[in-house]
Amino acid sequence: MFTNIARNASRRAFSWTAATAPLKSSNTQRFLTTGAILTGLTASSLLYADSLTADAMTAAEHGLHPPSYAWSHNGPLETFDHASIRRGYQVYREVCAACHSLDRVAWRTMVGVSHTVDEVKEMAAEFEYDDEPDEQGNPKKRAGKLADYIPAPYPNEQAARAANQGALPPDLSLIVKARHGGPDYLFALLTGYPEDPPEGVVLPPGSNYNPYFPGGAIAMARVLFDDLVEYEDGTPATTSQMAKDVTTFLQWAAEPEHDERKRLGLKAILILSSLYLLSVWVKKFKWAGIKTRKFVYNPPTKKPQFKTPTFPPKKN
Amino acid sequence: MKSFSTIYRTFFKRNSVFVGTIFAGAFVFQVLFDSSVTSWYENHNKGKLWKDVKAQIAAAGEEDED
Amino acid sequence: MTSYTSRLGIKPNPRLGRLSLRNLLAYSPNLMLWGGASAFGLFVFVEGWPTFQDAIFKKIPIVGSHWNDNTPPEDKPV
Repeated sequence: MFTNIARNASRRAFSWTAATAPLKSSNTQRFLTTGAILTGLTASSLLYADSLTADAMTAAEHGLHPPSYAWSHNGPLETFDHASIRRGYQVYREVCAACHSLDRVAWRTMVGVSHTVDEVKEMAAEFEYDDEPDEQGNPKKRAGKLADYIPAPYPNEQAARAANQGALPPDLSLIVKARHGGPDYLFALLTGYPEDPPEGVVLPPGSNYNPYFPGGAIAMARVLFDDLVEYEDGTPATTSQMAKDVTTFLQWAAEPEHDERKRLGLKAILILSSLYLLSVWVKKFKWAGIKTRKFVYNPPTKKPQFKTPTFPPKKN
Repeated sequence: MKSFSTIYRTFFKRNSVFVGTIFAGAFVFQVLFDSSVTSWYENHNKGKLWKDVKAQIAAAGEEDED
Repeated sequence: MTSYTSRLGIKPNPRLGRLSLRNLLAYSPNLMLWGGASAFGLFVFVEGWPTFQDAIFKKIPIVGSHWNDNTPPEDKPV
C-alpha cells in the first residue's frame, strides 16, 4: 500500500516539475541553489550565535571605536620599528612603571631587540631581587641579571590597590592583545583624555573621563604630557609621540615573535601558493583526456553493416 | 644542449639517483629560499630593524663626540 | 663449427638464505647510490640541527658560511 502511494506521489511530482520546466541550465541552477542554502545556513548560525549573549550596550558602555592608525608595522610584511620600541621602553620606565607591572618580560628578551646586552645588564642591575639567604639564614638581596624578569612596582595586588584609590593597574605585558582594538585602542586611550568630561556626565569619585574606555570612567588619569620624557635620540617628546612609542613597545612585549612570524608567514605563503597552483595544473593535465573526450553516435542504417555469418561461408 | 636521452640516463633511469637528486635539490632550495626571502624581508624593512637602529645610534654617538 | 663441452657449466655461488655474494656485488653500486640519496634525505630534515651544522654543513666550500651565526656579540643575551 505504501509503495503505491509513494509511486503515485513520485509520478505526480515528476509530472509537476516537468510542467514547470526550469529556464536556467542545470549547472546555474545547482550553483544558485547551493548559494541559497549556504547563505541561509550562515545567516541562521550567525543569528543563533548572536542570541547566546545579550549585551544591551549603549555606545558609551561599549566605548568609542578607535580609528585605524597607520602603524609602521601594519601589514603582513612589515616589522616593528625597533627605534620606537627603544623609545617606548624609556616611556614605560619613566612614566608607566610607577604603577604598572610588566611581569612576563625578561630582561634577556630585550637584548638584540631594542638594546645591546651591556645596556640591558646595566638596566637590570639597577633593580634588587631576592637572593639566597646568607649562612645565618638572613634574607639577602642581589642586583638584577639578564635572566630576571622586569620587576613590578608593588609587591602584591593589595599594595597596588592601596596606592591607587582601590583600582588595580593591570599588568601590561599582554595588554595590547588583551584589549579589543589592540594598539589603536591603546593609542586612542592614552591621547583621548578630554579637558573636561562632556555635559551631563557624572563620574564616580576618583574616575576620569575617557570616551574610548568602555563605560567612559577610567581610574587612570592622563599621564602623558608634552616633553615629559627626554628622548636620547633627540625625537621631540610630544604626547602623541610618547603614546605611539609606548604602544609599540607594549605590542612588542605582547608579541615578541611578531617579526619572525611575518617572515615565516611570507615563506609559507610563497611555497603553499606555488604548490597549490602547480597542483591545479597537474590536475588539469591529468584530466585533459577525459575533459576533451567526444561521444559519437552512429545511428543504425537500414542495411545491416555485417551480414549474419553463415557456415559454410557463402562466396559473395 | 644535451639530448633528452642523456638527461634520462643520468637522472631518471636509476631511482636512487632520481630520489637523491630530489633530496639534494630540496636541501639546496631550502638554503637558497631562506636566505633570499630573509634578505628581501630585511631590505623591505630597512631602517626599522635593530641592526639599522644600532648603526644610527652609533653614528649619532660619533657626531655627539665630534 | 660449434664445440660442445662435456663438463657441467656451473659456477660456484655462495649464498646465505636468499642473499648471494654475486647478487650483492651486482647491487653494490646501486646500494651506494641509495646510501647517498638517504644521506641527502637526512640532510633535508636536520638542516636546523647545530650538531649537523657544525659537523657537515659549515664545511661545504662556498655556501658553508650560510650557517655561520653572524649576530654581533652585543646582541647576544649572554
